[in-house]
Amino acid sequence: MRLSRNLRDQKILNPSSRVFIFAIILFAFSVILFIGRFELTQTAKNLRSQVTSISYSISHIVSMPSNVINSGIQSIIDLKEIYQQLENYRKNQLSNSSSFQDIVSMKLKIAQYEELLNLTADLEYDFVTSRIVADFSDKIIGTILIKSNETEKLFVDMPATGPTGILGRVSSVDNKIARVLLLNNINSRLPVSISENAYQGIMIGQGQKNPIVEYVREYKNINVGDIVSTSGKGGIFPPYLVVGQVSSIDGERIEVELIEDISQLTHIRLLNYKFNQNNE
Amino acid sequence: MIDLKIGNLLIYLILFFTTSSNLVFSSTYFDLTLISCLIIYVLKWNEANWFICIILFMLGIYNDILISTPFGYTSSLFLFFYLIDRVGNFFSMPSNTNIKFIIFSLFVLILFSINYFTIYFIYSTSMPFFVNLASYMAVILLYYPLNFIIGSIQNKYVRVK
Repeated sequence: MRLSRNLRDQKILNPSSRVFIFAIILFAFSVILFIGRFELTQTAKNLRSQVTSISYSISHIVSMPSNVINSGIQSIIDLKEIYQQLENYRKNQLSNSSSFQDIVSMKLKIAQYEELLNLTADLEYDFVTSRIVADFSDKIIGTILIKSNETEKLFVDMPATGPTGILGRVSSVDNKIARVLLLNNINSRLPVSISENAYQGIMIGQGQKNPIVEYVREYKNINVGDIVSTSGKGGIFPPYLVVGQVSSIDGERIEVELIEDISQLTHIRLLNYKFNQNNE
Repeated sequence: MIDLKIGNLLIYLILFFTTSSNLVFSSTYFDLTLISCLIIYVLKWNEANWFICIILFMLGIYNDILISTPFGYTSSLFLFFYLIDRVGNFFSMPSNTNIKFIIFSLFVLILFSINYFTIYFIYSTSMPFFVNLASYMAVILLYYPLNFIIGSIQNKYVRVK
């Protein structure tokens, strides 16, 4: 009886069992971290911000072989796209030149009207261009990492745009790296205006699917194809930046197809827009 | 005792490389976090080495920082697959690859369901079902090839048991 108890004790206390118990404790700790949403605390934000640069430097070196293969494949795809674009450009050259003239004359007219209405400082802002170093846009928590340095003076909540429309906003900044929270991120919320009548709503990221606009009172007046732009409410984003087009309407659920495709971009613009600063 | 033999360092390096590749490789159909889980599951670990648990925990946190997932998510996954491997070994199944494969597939599908329903109920949105399932199915399909490759490497270079 005593012999069997000793054997059982030895089995419980052997190194293998102790490691197993230790692994369970660490697992439980990880689950608590996850469920407790530790990343929302200020300590976690600081930790993430400080460690991102270091982890980026390490991972950049470690992932160098993958990077070489990836860039090789990307170059072939890019080359194919350039040929395609050249072909399209040749076809549309005539129509493009007339559209360009229209846009220029329209911009001049807008500038004249704004001057007549005494609209000035609110929409004046410059931008800095930053290179994308990592793209996690195809994940449900869509983000990208961009290069930053002290001379560029990036700040949290800086609006990020592509050549034609808005992409998201800066969520964290470090000495070398900044993270941009994209519009498709499930945590993203953006005040928008829909159509020329400026129906107001909030666009909510849906992960890998197109974002949707909610809280629109006049949703019955909205049609597929209407332009969605930033409303400027909230003060983070400037108004009148193109977001996308209404792609489908299902009751009060308005789906928006974004104008910018992050996977096609290598650089982004960061707008030096501070609503409060302009008001001061 | 901290076990830092060359063979074990090679294992840690493979996992570190896979996790770091998240930075340059992004695909809808291949989730590197899930592939790391598969590697952890098929590896033959030294069962008396507590340092492995810390390494897996730290790698998880590193992955969370890199891809901006909530803290503790990847660590839980890594340690979970390590634990189910240990439980399988405890019931004397390490040599039966088919049973290990069935257990792995089952838990991967459970994980997919949990992820899907969590996002559905908490964020009131749904992930594209088949697109997301594809990355989980890809990792299940990779089980036998990876098991063969890692088994060959470990039999050749690593003597952990």
